[in-house]
Amino acid sequence: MTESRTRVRLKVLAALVVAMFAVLTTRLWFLQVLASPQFDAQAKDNQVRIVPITPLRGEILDRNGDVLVGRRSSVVVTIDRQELPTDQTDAVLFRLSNLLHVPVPQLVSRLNSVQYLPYQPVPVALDVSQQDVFYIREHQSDFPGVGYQLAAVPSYPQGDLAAQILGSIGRMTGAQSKEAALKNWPLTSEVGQTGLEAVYDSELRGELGKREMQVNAAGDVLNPNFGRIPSTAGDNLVTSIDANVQRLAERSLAQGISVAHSTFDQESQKYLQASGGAVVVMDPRTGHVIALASNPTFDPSIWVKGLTNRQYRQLTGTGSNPGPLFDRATQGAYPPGSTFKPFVGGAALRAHVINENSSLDCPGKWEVPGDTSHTVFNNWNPVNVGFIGLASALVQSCDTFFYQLGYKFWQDYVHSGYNVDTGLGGTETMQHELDQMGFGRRTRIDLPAEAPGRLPTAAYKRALVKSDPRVYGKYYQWLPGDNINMSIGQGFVTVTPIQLAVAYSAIANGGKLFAPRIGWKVQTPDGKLVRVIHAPIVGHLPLSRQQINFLRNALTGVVRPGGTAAPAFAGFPLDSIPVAGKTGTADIVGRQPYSWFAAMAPANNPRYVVVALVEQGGHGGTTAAPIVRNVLQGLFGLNTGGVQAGSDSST
Amino acid sequence: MDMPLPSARASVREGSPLRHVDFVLLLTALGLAVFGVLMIYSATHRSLLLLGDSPSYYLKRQAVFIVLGAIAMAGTALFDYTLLKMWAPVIYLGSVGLLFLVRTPLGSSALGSQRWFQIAGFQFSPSLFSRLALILMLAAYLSEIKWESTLREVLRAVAIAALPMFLVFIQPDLGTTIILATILVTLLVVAGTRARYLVVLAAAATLAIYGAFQLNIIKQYQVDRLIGFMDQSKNSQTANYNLQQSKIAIGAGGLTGTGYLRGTQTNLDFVPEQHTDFIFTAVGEEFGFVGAGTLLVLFLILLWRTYRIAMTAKDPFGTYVAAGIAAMFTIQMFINIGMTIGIMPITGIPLPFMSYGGSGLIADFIGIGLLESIRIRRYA
Repeated sequence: MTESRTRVRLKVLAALVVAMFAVLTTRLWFLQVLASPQFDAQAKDNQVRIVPITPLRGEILDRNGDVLVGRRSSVVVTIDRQELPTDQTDAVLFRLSNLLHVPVPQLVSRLNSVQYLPYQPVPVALDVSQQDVFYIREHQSDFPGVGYQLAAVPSYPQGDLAAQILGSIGRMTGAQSKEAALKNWPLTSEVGQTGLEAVYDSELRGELGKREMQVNAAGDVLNPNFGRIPSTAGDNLVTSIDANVQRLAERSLAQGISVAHSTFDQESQKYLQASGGAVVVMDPRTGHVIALASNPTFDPSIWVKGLTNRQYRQLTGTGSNPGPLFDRATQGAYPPGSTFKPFVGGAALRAHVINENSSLDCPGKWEVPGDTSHTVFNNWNPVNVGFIGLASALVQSCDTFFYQLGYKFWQDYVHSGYNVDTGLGGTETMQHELDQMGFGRRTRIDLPAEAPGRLPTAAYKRALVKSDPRVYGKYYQWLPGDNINMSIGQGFVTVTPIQLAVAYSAIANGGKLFAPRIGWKVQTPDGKLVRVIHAPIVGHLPLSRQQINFLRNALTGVVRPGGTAAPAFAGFPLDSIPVAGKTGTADIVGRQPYSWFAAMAPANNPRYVVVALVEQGGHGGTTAAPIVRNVLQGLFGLNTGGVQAGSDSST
Repeated sequence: MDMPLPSARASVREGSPLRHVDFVLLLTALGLAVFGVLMIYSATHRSLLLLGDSPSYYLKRQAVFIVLGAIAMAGTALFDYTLLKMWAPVIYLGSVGLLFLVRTPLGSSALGSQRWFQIAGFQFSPSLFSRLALILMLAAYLSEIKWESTLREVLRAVAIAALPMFLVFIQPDLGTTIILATILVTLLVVAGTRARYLVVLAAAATLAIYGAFQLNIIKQYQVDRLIGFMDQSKNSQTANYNLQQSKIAIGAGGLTGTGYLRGTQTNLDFVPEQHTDFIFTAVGEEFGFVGAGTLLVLFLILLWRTYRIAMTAKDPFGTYVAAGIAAMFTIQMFINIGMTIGIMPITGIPLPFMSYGGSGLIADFIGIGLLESIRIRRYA
């Protein structure tokens, strides 16, 4: 009996053992079959350390293939913190500082950067001479952990040409490091931060490669070439910029500014300050930008050399007086003055305020009919010219003619239900038409930080005045004077030079409003075409073909005798190369007039639109128009001995 | 000495005890040991090379232990186990004496525990032999008392086990303590102890464990391991590192494994103590579920043969000894494999026949020798 009980109990225990085996088998099935892929990945993570291989960045070229931004190699001295003994750090940094003429605090701040992983050598000095590298190698015991490597840095073979639009690269920001496309990039990677470098960064930067190193649990590298995916060099960006035209535009602008500096302004009783300016050259047929100049300018290689806080402040300037970094062509918004008139005239045609054959008088001064305050609106020309049509009004830039258009728009506004007392209601026809022409919003050019300009409305004025009545007065309502001021491009309205260039291009090409493009083509490093960049058409002038041709024809008179730019174009072969243009002289309270000129040529079939602006440069006809003329001369090969543009390579 | 080999079977004289040798058991044990030595090589050769040592250092030593173990097994098998019943108290007292001695300056210590004697370049751990000594002593005692043992007799059996348990526990060696406790419980069950006494014992054991925690007798690392086991999601915890790496290695093996000497976790030292307590992870990674399953089948065969021997032994002493050895192998295998796959807390228990280490291996083979001795003499 006892024996059988033992046997029973043994059997029970045996069953227990079988159950234990079942438990182990089930668990193993889960780990090794069901959850295996996850553990497989963890095992790979365990043994592989990935070192990213940064690709060579693409170059930025002009339309003829000339390099605007190249990449050159530079000797960079690095410090491997793991090999630098803690007790020797100070001594080594001191020696390095003496050798490379880099202050110790700068070396320390770079060395302590949290952006580098512990096993990554930290670059502490750029462009180190071969001599210094040899010295370090010969005295390696004095420089434990100090090494060197070749790094690619941007080069600017054209000097300061197109400095504002090329932009800069720099260590990626916190926000950039979170972008999906940059996820695996080392935090020390340099990516586009401003200008074209930023806009086309995804194509310029290339594709990251990686080297896999096999390590054991202790972190010892067992196989440094466990796996390797080579990086793919970035593509080159071919721009529609023509370096020769760009140079021509920049020099013409600089010349124009220096001429302005020696021109005495009667009104302010001072020489013209001409604090800066911009020139835009566009192909109105394609919407591509051929030149985009901004003055003052700077040497873009400062981004590579590094700059002090003081230098940086000088480059950025202040809000009211921006420095060279500020791209006046796309970021500066200025009252357009009379360059706005063709569009106001066009809006009037469109809104049937007048037609092509209507005549209005052009007195020396004009008052709003029935205005008991007798506010006087002056023409720039005190002489009464008599009744003229829209074409003559544009040629002579008759302000009083346009005041009447502005007033008619005002009357229209009131008829549509605008309440003068409350400042509410009604339809803002004038602004609606001008908005259709691209004013008051960004052109969406392929450059960052573009200014939208401003097309003022009743709502805008209300908000502005109420924000500070002491500055803006008590009238928060939109008043007749606001339409009247806007009719000559004054008051609250502002435009950017690129906006004006796009609008004039639309007059030149029959109405197409482009989002202008500087990028033209993307190519692989060995020249294979990746894609062509087309300037998208984002709108059309709300005018008929006849109305557009009417405006363009009218503007050809501006450069001919009797026009406001006639002196500037004296001697220009207008018979072979007809030019249509418009001067602008914009007033800003407390400043000298802003000088504008916008032109298209040849006027019968425009290939170029050129817009020039000089801040506080005086009259449009005297400062901006000669700059544009100089550019046009270069574009059409008319300059003898002067600035010469390249051949017309646009097709 | 004559090793009974299968080919020699025909030449064995009719009626000789050698005729009854369980070759399946013998070959399974040897197979496990050879499997083990191959895995030890896999787990150590690369890091040995990295250190500039011979990659086969551990392989050779373990091979020597296998030979020594086989000799010890044969010697034990040839010895009539019934005589051991009389020698059991001596063996038991001898093992307890060694457990005392290892705590004196004669013993060596490492990693905060005092566990072995250093003899001629080899380490001898008395706690591993105390398992066999306890099996013999308890089997001898329980086979002497009448069926339906009294509480007093049960307590006496508990006292017999408690002495070595206490001595290994304070080394500290929690793993061996658990093995000894399992042996005690198994033998009490097999010897027909009344269920209510077992319940009382279980209650007392629970109280004792609770008391051990309260009195801080349990070392901090043991508590950490337990916490790590309870909460396996916190893989950053140091105590959990072993477990995580072990699971990764086994999981990465998948169905068929990475192939011999090709397991990256095994080769690159990611699993600590891999050639000793974590040898199963090498099997899991390099041979996958198929290999791990094969290993389990080998253990199942081993235990099945042991069970047969317990059932067919000619006397209760033989049955008890066989049951004790089965309990020893089972609990070691279950806890060892269980801890590598996260179903048991990590305790320093070697995998029978496979983990690197001479004392354990030789003790395991002596266990097989005892089983063969019982088997051979089952009709005698």
